[in-house]
Amino acid sequence: MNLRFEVIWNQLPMFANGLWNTVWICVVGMLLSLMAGIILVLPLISRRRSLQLPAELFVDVGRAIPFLMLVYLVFYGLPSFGLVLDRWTTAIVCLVLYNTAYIAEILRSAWANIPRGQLEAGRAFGFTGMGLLRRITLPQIMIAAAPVLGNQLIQIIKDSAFLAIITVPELTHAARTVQANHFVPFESFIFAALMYWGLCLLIEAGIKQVEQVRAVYAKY
Amino acid sequence: MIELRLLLESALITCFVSLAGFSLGIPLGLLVAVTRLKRLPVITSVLAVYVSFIRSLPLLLFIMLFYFGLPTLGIDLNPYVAGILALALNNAAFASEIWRGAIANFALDQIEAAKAYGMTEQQTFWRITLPQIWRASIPPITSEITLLVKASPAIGIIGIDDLTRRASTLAASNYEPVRMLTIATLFYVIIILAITQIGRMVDRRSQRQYELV
Amino acid sequence: MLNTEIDTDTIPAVHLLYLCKKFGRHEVLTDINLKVVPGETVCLLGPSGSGKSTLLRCINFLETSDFGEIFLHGTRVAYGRSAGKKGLTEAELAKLRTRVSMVFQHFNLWPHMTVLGNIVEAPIHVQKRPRAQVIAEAEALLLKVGLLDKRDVYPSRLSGGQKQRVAIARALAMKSDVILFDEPTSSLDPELVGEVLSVIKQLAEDGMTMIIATHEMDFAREVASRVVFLDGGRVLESGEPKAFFRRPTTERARQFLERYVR
Repeated sequence: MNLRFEVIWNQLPMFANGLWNTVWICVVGMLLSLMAGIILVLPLISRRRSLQLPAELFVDVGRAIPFLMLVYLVFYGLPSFGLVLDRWTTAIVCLVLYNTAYIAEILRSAWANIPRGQLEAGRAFGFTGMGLLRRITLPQIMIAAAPVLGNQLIQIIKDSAFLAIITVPELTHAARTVQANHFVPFESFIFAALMYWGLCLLIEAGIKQVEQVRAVYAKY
Repeated sequence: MIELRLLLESALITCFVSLAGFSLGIPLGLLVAVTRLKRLPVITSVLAVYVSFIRSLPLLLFIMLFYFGLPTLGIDLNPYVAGILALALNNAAFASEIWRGAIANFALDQIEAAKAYGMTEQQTFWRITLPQIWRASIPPITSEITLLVKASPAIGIIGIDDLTRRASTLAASNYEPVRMLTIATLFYVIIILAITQIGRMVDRRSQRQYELV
Repeated sequence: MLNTEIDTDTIPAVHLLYLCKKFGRHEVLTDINLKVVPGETVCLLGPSGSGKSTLLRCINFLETSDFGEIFLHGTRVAYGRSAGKKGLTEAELAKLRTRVSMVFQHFNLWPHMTVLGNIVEAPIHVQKRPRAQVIAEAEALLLKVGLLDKRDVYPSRLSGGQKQRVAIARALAMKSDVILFDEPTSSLDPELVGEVLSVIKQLAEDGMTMIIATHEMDFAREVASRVVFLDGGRVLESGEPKAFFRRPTTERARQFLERYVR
């Protein structure tokens, strides 16, 4: 056994670039799916069945498709309909399409767990419609869902590794390239793995912070 | 249609690999959870690191590490073995968190009653704790299994012809990407829905057995 | 060797000598001396937090006493902290526990087993007694507590009173020397208290040895062969129920009775 970690050291810029691409793709993907999720949760929590049903269908089916399958559908399937997206756009579109269903479901279950009295109190003080939603319901949903949304960001980061297959130059792709060029499979994969780990530990620390802030609200 | 047969065959591969993955992973996760709760000095920290590391590792990278990386350390695995082991180890890390939460939240009353009636720690675990937390963990375990199926396309990278890989190679050869990929997607939806339904059925049956409903 | 002459009935089933128990710095039991002879029904009375439950839990080794001795049928089973981690192994403790069985305030039935399953569980799997015999005995016990028709039902289907009667049958099935009752009716709806108390009363008439922590004063007056009044972790009075209820000797007991009896 002869490990050559100096190769990794020399290829550090490549890994750093991959890590950066992973981070920004995922953060942008997360923010956009959060917005889409908020829009999608409205029909989910509405009392009108005709609005609820199609949203539920989207959420259920969306959560039954593997991420890589979705990437193939967008990257190889859409051109048949005359819609050719480059890899970056494909990456973002797939992340958003995939995660919107999950995030909408997270928000819906956060909404379901808010004590009804708090929303009724909003109504009792004269909030209605959009006002109630924007001032009372949504802030509470977001506070309740924050930690779970953090976990979803970790999930997004892990799923984004599949984008290496359509050669988006993110972290896993960087590791594959380094191993292919220098034949250091173990060294490059374990190094990338450690980078993913560090990234996720950082997010987990962030979730802990949010939970501490939230504990203050929970007591009030 | 030859393609449909090929896709169906690869769907079976996906099912088989996933089944093998969680059949190993879920009991392994229980073992990890129980060992971690025993607070053995070194082993507990090692397992905590294992769980934290695996939980943040993309499955695709994990599988490449297993199949392409381990030969550097002198461990050469056949692709199926590497794929199933990686899925199992991945699944075990997540399942262990579910088990750990369930064991930690298990009612103290129940354990005390077992103690008062002379059961040893082991008897208490096997006869009182496990039968109860097992039933309580059916819904989260089911959703963990669906996540495993959805992550399973990662095994395509080491040459296993699972549903996703087969669909993409067929699409590349017959220039009918939309048809191939749509059929494969439908298969996934069917598999996932079947798992959720089975999970719900088992859950409902165990609740009815307790006469909770 | 001389002991062989002694009538075994006079050997106390439970004998506590200077038993002490602390939670941290807080002393919950101080110098408890208690002798319970076979066939006695001892009711532990006292305000909440007086140490009744802790005392029962020490006898069953769910808590470890800090000082003093515990004798079960003349055998010294705990001495100082010996019942703790250093002295007895978990397996030895488990064995000791089968000699005293416990009925809990919140029943603590195992929800994943039927009524019969709850009763036969420990006799079969802990005491390793033959299954067929244990089941036959369990059925007889269910008949005794009036629940034979619930034999194959799960606990979630039972009322609180029925659950506690099953819990009593479970305790009886252990054939232990003593049964401890930790406020057996405190978590029951008032209309269900009677059915449980009448079962316990029947046991007292059968000559079962029992120690019962309770707030049911009428029951204690009627059924107990002796009442023990605890306050602040000490035994303040011990004696005939009639005398205790008519003329308590301590001021604390007088105050307590004023509040609890009507």
